[in-house]
Amino acid sequence: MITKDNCEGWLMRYADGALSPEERIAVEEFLAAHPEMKEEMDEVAAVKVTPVVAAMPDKELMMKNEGGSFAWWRAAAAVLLLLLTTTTLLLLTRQPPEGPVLAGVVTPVAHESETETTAEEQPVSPVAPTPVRPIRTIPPADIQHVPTEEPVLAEEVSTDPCQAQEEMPSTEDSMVSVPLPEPSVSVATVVENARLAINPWLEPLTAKN
Amino acid sequence: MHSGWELIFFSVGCKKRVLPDVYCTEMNAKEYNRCVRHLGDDLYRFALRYANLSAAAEDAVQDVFADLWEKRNEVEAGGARGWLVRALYRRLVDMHRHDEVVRRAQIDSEAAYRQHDNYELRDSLAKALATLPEQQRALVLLRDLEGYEYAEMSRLTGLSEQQVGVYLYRARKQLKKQLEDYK
Repeated sequence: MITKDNCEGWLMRYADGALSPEERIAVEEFLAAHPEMKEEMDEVAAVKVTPVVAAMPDKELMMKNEGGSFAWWRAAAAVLLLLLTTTTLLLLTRQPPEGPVLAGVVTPVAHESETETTAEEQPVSPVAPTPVRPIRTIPPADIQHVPTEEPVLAEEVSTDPCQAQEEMPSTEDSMVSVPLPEPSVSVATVVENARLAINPWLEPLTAKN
Repeated sequence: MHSGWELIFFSVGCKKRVLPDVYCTEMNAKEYNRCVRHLGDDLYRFALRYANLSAAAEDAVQDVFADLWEKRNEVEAGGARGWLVRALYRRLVDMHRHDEVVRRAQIDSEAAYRQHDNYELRDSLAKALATLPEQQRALVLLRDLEGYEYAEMSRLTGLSEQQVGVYLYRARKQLKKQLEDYK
């Protein structure tokens, strides 16, 4: 039985929807008999507490370490992988210098007797194969007369490869410029170069172990 | 998974709890930190409304999170939020009772207590809440800020659901009267 003396709890639970259907009917009958209580209940139920606009300060200080050793190893592995990748790319993409390269081969001193030998008996330089046309062949005597500021083109001196080849043995301390053959880098070479490149970094680690 | 909008909606206040306990399923360090991030502000707002003192609210929230970490193996999976709210409620009640003892020993005048410098009565609602009896204030905050149902409040406070309704009705009626007086 709901009366004015005990209606507070019933009205509050009714307003909050916390009553069973039978209890709701009983409260509605009470409100029908006491309309002034319906008005009061509506006003009371409308009062709500709102949260303050605030945030817990220094929440980070309450947090715990989530286990950093594994994260450290992941970071170290990532750096090492990046280093290896960069080194490999640098080695793969390295291009030979443009233009002719001085082979820098100094032919042995030719004696007077050797200059009379035939072409078949002449020693062949391993880096100056026969099919390669020499671009520039300058006898030492001519070099003395040619100013260094004006490079001499190969065509100006010798355009006939056969003639140039014949002149080579008779030239003492000649410098021969030849174009390098196309670079052919095998996988084994790249791997070996990468190993040699990172070897200085690995040595301290292996020495500690 | 719940979106950020739900978190924002929850943070500005709603009647029903939309942030369930599934955020804390495994109480390892990662899940604990997630609880701190997602629940720390809500608990702090609850404590601030209850204690009306930022330092006391901070202490209470830090204490309950420290307890949670110590008892992380005892907390049921997925029940961290409820555990934290109950622990915070008990902590605040204990602090209030301790404060009440100190107050009675040191300050005789209720008016002087209300004007104490430590109490941050910043707005009329905070002032009105400060006038409520401790249990009525806790019930209003549990209902309005945490969205607790009557059965949950009954279990937490040891009151019957009818008594909870009576206290809530009287608390809201008192708040309404106080707010009208402050206008």
